[in-house]
Amino acid sequence: MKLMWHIAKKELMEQFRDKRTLWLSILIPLLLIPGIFLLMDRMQSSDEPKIEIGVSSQVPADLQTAITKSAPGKLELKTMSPEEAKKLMKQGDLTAYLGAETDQSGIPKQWTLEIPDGSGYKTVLQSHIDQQLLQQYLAQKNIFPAELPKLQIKPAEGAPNIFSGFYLISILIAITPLSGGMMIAIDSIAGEKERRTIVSLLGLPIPTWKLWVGKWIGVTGMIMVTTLISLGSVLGIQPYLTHPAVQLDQLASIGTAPLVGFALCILFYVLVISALLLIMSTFARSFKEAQNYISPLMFVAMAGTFIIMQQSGSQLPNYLFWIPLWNVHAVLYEILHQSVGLMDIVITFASCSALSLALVAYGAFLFQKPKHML
Amino acid sequence: MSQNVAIQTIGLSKHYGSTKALQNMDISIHSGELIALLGENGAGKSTLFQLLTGLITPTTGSIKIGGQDLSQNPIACKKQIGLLFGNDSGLYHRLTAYENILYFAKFYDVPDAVARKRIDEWAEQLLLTSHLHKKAGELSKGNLQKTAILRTLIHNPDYLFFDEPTTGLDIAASLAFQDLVKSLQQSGKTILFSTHILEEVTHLTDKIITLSQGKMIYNGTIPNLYQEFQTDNLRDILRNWIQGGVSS
Repeated sequence: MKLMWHIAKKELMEQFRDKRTLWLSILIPLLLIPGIFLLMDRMQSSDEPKIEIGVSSQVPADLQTAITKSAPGKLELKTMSPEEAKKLMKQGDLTAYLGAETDQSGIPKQWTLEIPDGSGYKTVLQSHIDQQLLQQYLAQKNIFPAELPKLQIKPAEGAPNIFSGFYLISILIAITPLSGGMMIAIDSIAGEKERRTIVSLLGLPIPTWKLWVGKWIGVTGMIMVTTLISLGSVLGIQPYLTHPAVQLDQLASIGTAPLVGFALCILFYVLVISALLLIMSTFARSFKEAQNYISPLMFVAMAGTFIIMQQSGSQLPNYLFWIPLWNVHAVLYEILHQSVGLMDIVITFASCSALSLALVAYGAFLFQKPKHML
Repeated sequence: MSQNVAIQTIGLSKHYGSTKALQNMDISIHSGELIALLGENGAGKSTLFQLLTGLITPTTGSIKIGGQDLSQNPIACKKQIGLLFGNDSGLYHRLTAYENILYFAKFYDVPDAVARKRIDEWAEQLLLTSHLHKKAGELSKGNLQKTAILRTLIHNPDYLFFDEPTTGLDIAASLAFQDLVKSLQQSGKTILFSTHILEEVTHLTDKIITLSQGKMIYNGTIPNLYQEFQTDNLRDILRNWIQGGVSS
């Protein structure tokens, strides 16, 4: 184990001294990804869709006008019954519902804003529909009630707005480990063949499988660093966006256990990816040849995201959890739907670890074949 | 096998499909011997080195290093071997010369302090001290080769294999390397080296093994060869062999 760690350390040390790797694995995730998000956010802000709010018929028409005017062009109010609003919010077709009880003179005695948990518009709506708005409305009518009815914010049952969050994290998980691990994986075997350093390495008094496993540990470490940086920078930029793709409070509300389970799923996914990358590097005779092998792998990894996006409902078919490159996306989907089961995570661990062990055994086997190495 | 036979091959052959890279080779090299391996390109020299260092496995035959069978005890045998290729330094260009040597030393269980002491001593002897902390990619060919030599010697191996070690070196570096090889032999190391430079052979040793088309065509001393061919021109003898084929 000591020698394998020695090899892994050297692989990492070499990579951190390589400008190409630093750009691809560290600086791009750290700077480019948040930059793209900010740019997209700016572009989106100039062409915002209207926020649809259901309104009770009890809300006076001129109060409705005041609400619409409070955010010109942003809010669209539709009168409907509470039952209809509940149904639409559950389907994800309505952002919120404003209910009111008025006295005979039309003065609200009580008003309630119902917003589904995790709605991305919670803060925006609360800033437009507030006490001040009601106070101003009543003042215009020269009505100064002894006590202003307090706006009650109520959670409503709504369709989780997971589309953008899932799409974003899932694509990131599909691409980042491959792009971040590609250079180190290619360099550590195909690169050694090209530079002929492999001969010195194979002449060392150590079983060849240990050499391969040492390199695998190094590649896994590098991929984990890149993946964590990418995820961290993407999540870190969200609070600064007008339209965040991921609601951090929604993520936090998922709970620690599923998130820890998901983090472990990512680790197991990375183990598979690093083994696949190294096997391709073992097969290839040159850097360029290895790059050609690796490109299709990116499409295979991303296919999982698109297949899962075609699914409906909060629970996915079981078979998706048995497919190692796709199951991490399936776990993410169910976590965001808050419907993930322990068995789904266990199956993901089991299939990923079984495949990574098989791949490591195969890679180490290939590595001792002179026809691939010399 | 007699007590002082250091390296022995028995019926050693290596075939790649229908290509016979090496055929039925029996060699015995005694402890402390310095032997030059000669032959044209494709004669089988590099294949022999790859077999002797355990990089490839023979199609038939066996190899003993220090009395141990290489196929049965590869790790123990490799620990006693030092391998140097002239064409490829085998160094990592993003690590410094020092880091490269220390990296390889660890695989031979050389304690860190011992490795550092050896590096300092040898580097001084090879005039490499001021370059030790430069990245290998920034070193000249000569200094790269010196670093590779240090890497080869760091575990104090008993058996040294040098495959065209002076390829690409300038005259000064080549002469320095020849002096080093001589001093290594004097310290009791068993050395097998290949070269295309005949002056290097005559300067270093009088024992040669000659290969042609995968077969051993001569194993003996240079004086005996001269006597056999009634000439003292090694170049003419080799040219005659190569042009006339193995049977000449």
